[in-house]
Amino acid sequence: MSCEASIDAIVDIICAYVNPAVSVVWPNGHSLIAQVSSESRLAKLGHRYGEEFGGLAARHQESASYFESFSVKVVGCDLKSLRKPEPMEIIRCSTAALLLCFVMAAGAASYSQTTPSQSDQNQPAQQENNKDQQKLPNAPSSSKPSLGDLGFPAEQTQANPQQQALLDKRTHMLKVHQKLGFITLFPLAATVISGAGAGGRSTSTTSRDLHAGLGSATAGLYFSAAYFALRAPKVPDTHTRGQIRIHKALAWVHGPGMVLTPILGAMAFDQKSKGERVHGIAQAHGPVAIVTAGAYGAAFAAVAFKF
Amino acid sequence: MRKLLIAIVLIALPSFAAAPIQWVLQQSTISYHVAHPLHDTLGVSHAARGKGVCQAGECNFLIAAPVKSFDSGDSNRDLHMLQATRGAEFPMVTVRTELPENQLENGALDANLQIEFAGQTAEYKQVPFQRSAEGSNVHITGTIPAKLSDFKIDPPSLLGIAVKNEMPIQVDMTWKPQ
Repeated sequence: MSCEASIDAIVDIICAYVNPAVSVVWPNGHSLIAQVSSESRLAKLGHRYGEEFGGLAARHQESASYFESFSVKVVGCDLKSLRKPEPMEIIRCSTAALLLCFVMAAGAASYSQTTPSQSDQNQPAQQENNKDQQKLPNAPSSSKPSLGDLGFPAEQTQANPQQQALLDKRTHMLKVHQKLGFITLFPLAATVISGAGAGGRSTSTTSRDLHAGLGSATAGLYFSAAYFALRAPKVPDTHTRGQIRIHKALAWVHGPGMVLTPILGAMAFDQKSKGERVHGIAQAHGPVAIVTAGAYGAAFAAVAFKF
Repeated sequence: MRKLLIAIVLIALPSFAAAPIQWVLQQSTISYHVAHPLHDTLGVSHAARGKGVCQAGECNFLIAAPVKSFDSGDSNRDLHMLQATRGAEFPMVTVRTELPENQLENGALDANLQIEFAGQTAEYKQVPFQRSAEGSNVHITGTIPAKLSDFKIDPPSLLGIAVKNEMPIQVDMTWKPQ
């Protein structure tokens, strides 16, 4: 909603270093600075105190006397905050002040021409800066450094939605990997514990069947978890650092171990079922299983705890 | 002749009177701290750049750092952080503040900060910083009491337990006048 009203008082006209500006101070102490664009000759007036006054616009009355007179209008204001209106003051600058203003405006123009090449390299930063100037417009625009002034390479400041999508997919898959890997710990532990009762001379025991069942469940969960880790997309130009290296290195131990253990276990199970003593390579089932479980537990600890 | 002299003086005046003072961030260490019951994480960046312009008694500072420049010592965690903060979509974290120029002379200063991060803008009022002079340089330290929720970041979780919402950002900067 817009309205027009006389402002209470115009205290001063200042010529800022870059742009001529009108400083307006209300009797309640709130101040505003109007920046006058030399091109459009319309000013965007900012306000220090948020939404109270809305936007302001200032324009000069006669183009021939650019700095001689200003009428200041309040646009989009809250009339409640502009009670006790007084007649609008017309500010007249002396010839010297006019000259000063023109010199400063010229200086500003030449100053602003020195930076666009850097700013142009970074369109998002430029847009961001423009947006910020609208948000906090109470100071001359030149006094607010922009992201473009900091000299970051353009590729560092530009959004990369493709990479964000890649990261989202990677995180999703690794979260599934994490959950399945965590769940796998329980049947793995149960399998190791039940392994103690899986031996014996009997050709068929419940504990041996339970051990075999838990082992199968462990292997199924393990390979499901591994699938999500292996299929998670890799982020280019990323070097593996930190404890995740231990986690990954241990996969070279528990991965083959998780392949070998069920095979050896099946061989041992078969031999036991035939009433034979476990012999040959099947004897390695227990030791391989323990090493595998140990490596798996260590891999879990490597991501769960900091050491 | 007299008019010419006045004109010359007037032309020369602005270059002396209105020249803004500029500050450049010479070196910095910015770190975020995230706590989880199983372990804490400290991500550090030395890649921040900053600029300050003081004019008419007011100083405007801008500090920015690439989100991916924060290093926690674990590449996997850093990639998760980058994803959680949407660091590829919003690659820069920027801090803006406006200070009265005379506050820069004090040993302690309180700054109102506007932080843009993860596509959100959060404002922090009266954040205390310590200032010390090192020759012509100025050394500023302080902690910004940021929270994940300020930037609408879903707290990352490990083993079903989310990290704490608090994410204090420690700032250690050396500014050099230009």
